[in-house]
Amino acid sequence: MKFFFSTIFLLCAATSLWGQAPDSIPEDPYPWRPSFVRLGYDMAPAGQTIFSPNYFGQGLSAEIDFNTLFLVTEAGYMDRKYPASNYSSNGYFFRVGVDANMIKYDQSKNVITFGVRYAGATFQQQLMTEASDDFGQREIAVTQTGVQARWFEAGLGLKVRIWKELFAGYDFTLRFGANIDDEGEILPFFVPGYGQAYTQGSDPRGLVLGFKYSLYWTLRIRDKPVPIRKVKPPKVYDSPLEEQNQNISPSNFGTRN
Amino acid sequence: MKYGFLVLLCCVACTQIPDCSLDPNADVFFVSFSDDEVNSFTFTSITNDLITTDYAPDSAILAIALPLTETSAVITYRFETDTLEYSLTVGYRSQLNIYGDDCPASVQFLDVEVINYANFDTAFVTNPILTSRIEENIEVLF
Repeated sequence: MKFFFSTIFLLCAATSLWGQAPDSIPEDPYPWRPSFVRLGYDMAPAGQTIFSPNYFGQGLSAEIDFNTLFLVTEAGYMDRKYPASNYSSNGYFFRVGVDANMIKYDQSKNVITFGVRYAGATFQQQLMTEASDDFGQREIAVTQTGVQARWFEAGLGLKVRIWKELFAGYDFTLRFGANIDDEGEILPFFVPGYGQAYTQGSDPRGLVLGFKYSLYWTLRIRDKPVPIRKVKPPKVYDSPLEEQNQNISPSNFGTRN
Repeated sequence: MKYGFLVLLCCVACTQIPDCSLDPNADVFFVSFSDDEVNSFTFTSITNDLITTDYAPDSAILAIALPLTETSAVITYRFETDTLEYSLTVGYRSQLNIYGDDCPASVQFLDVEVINYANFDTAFVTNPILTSRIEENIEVLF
């Protein structure tokens, strides 16, 4: 008999534990251990390459997660020609930075991020023009290699799952704090990865707006549970009168004129 | 959707499309002359060491625009009067730049400095960048 009641008690206790299981997902014991690597391809320069004969660009990215932060690296190549001035600029760029996920509870693992980047470019410029003045008619042809530029970026991004581990995303960034090598024979007009560096000849552009539309494929390293937002349980009142009294607050009183 | 279109319209409207004719780059520097007594100066010849062109005007002047070239980083101008020959050696840096997407490249002259002068009392730079908006780059005192 004694054994029977003990068995019933254990079964009840176990049932009560099993009953709680679907409401909570076990917390990730190693939240800072990376769970995926996400590889991206920037479609914006690829699209521009198709539609503009004077532009060629490719951009790739890779990111890895550490809890709700993503370490991001980006690299690419751009070649831009300006026929009116016979100017061309081509070279490589990189970006390194961190994105912070602002919707960590999203069960589809979509993300909205705020990120910062440190970026740089190494490129070469070519310019050919003609001059005619008191000193004679001549052709000016200048090639400048190894031109350097550095800048910072901050922006918002969105990545949405569209199929299995395929994500699509937008990024809007502000590029600022540019330090561009401007001591050469050509003032850099276009910097790969940054955009047009000067406006109206030699006025530096303080802020440059950047846009990316990318496709990503996520490679899962381990299965990481998405945390569930902890909701405060509703307060249970002993009587309707007590609940009514709790709901009365000074703001609920009307003003007497 | 309609707000997105409005934002796009504003962005397009606010985009500056530069007029290439407003390119301020100039290839001449302005030298002004001054003296306590004389109001204007007459030169019989103004030449430089790169070409034989004579830039001396027929009348008396207070200032003159003299050309620079990107083929050299230094140029010496000789100013001759009936009695004396003056000289002014100017150093500078030239750089190609582009005013806008659809504009031809132009040469900007900057970092103008007086390297040497002879027979003037003094010569100094008042503005080291050549633009069409600046009326004086070097002031010379007799």
